[in-house]
Amino acid sequence: MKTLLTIIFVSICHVYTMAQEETDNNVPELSGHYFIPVSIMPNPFIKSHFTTNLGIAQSSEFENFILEIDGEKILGLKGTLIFASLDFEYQQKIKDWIALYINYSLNARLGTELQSILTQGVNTVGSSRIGWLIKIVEKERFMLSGDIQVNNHSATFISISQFVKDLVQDSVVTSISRQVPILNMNGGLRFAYAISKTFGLQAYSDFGYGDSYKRGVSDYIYRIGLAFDANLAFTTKVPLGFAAFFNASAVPENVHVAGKSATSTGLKISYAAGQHFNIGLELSRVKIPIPNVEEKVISTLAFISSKYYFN
Amino acid sequence: MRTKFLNVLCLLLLVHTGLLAQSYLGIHIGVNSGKFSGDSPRNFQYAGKLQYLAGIDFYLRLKKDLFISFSPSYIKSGSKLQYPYENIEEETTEYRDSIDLKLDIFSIPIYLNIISDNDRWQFAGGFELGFPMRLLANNSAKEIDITEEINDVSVSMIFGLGYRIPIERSYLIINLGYSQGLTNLTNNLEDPDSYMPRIRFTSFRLSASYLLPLGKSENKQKP
Repeated sequence: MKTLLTIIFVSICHVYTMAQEETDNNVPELSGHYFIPVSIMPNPFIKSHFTTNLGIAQSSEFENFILEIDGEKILGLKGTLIFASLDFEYQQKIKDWIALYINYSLNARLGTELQSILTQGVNTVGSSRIGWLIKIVEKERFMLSGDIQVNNHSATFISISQFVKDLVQDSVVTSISRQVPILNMNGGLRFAYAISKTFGLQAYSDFGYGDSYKRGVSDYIYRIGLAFDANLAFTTKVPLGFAAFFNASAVPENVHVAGKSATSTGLKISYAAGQHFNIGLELSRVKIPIPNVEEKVISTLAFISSKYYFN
Repeated sequence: MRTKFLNVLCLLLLVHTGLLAQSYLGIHIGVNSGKFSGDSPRNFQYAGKLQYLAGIDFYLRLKKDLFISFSPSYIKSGSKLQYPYENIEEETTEYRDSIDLKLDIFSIPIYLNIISDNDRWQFAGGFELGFPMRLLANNSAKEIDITEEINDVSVSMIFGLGYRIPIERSYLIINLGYSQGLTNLTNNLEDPDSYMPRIRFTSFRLSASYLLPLGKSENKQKP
């Protein structure tokens, strides 16, 4: 009798859990495929969610030329940089076709040794964004949404080399730290396609216009990205998901050199069996331009990203 | 003559299709915490300045849960400029109000209002065309008019959240809004050596709107 009651209890719990799995899964889904979110890729789904991303990267060694005589660069100092990033986003679904989101991120870039501190300084960029996400079309296998957002950045540059240059060469009143607030606006498209229950594709593109760090100069900005994901959690017993992604970006919180862009390629592994959340680790190889260095610096970036879906 | 005729025809069509019966006319009044953001004169920082706003509202229903609204407003606003003072005894630095910037704007915001399923909440988003009328700077000693330093038109992006209280056929709406200036307020953008080369105007607003329906009630219209 005891065994029978236990079997009935376990069966009820299992059926209840199954029923919940069918109805309460808030992870974005198309045609039975549950998408793996990637930190640098905004997705098209109209869902309420809270996202946090924490990342750190170290660059390879680069040579920074600080003296130029007759067009010839003669003095180079070698060094490396550390990048750190913290990002929060809250998106509120208002209707099935529209959501409002706010985002705050803090990005820091600092030299690891005396020579890189001297040449590259310490830079931080705090960015707040607010925007709308609007569904354009949703079919069984794909979804396309558009977004429009306004970005407010506040950058702080601590530069010893610029301070010395201002003081000695240009003889102007200067300060070792400089605060530069900038504003820009962008809009774009976000796309998701379910190839099968296991595999999916996500893509996005954003274009915008606004201030640059140089006063009196405005600049175009863009971000494009593509991700291919495999979610094994709902088709096998493995509770994991994987994603491979590529991203190119010329947004000022990442790129401090006007007219240039950073590219990153990476892989993500995540726990994907959660019905309301996804947490994962991303590793990517980033090629980023930095001031006074001719070639883009290669960095290895590690990101811990988590996303909690409300509905 | 032809334009006038078309305008009258449009108005007649609007009335005929019953759009006015789906619309609301009202007034709003509230407080406005404005602040300049961007470049500030050396060592100074901007701080918020609390003032008021008032205007009229026109809500036109597009769908059951979607309105487009025009809310021409007079906004009395501005910002404060603060300067750091060293407190030698306590070895601290505190920012004190030094210059008061008073800005008067006539604005025409165009919002898209999305109404929640329970008809209680409304989310608003849109753009605002602002016409700065006067900018005064004063400290304890004197006041100067620096209206010539600002552009004739400014464009802002606005976001809002409102709580709707139905009162018979009318509505009282409590609105919380945020306006972010997109264009430069000052007209010396091309001069990077200017003391204020790049300034935007941002504001938080708390206002109350009272809306009256236009036309007869839907129940009375039914035969």
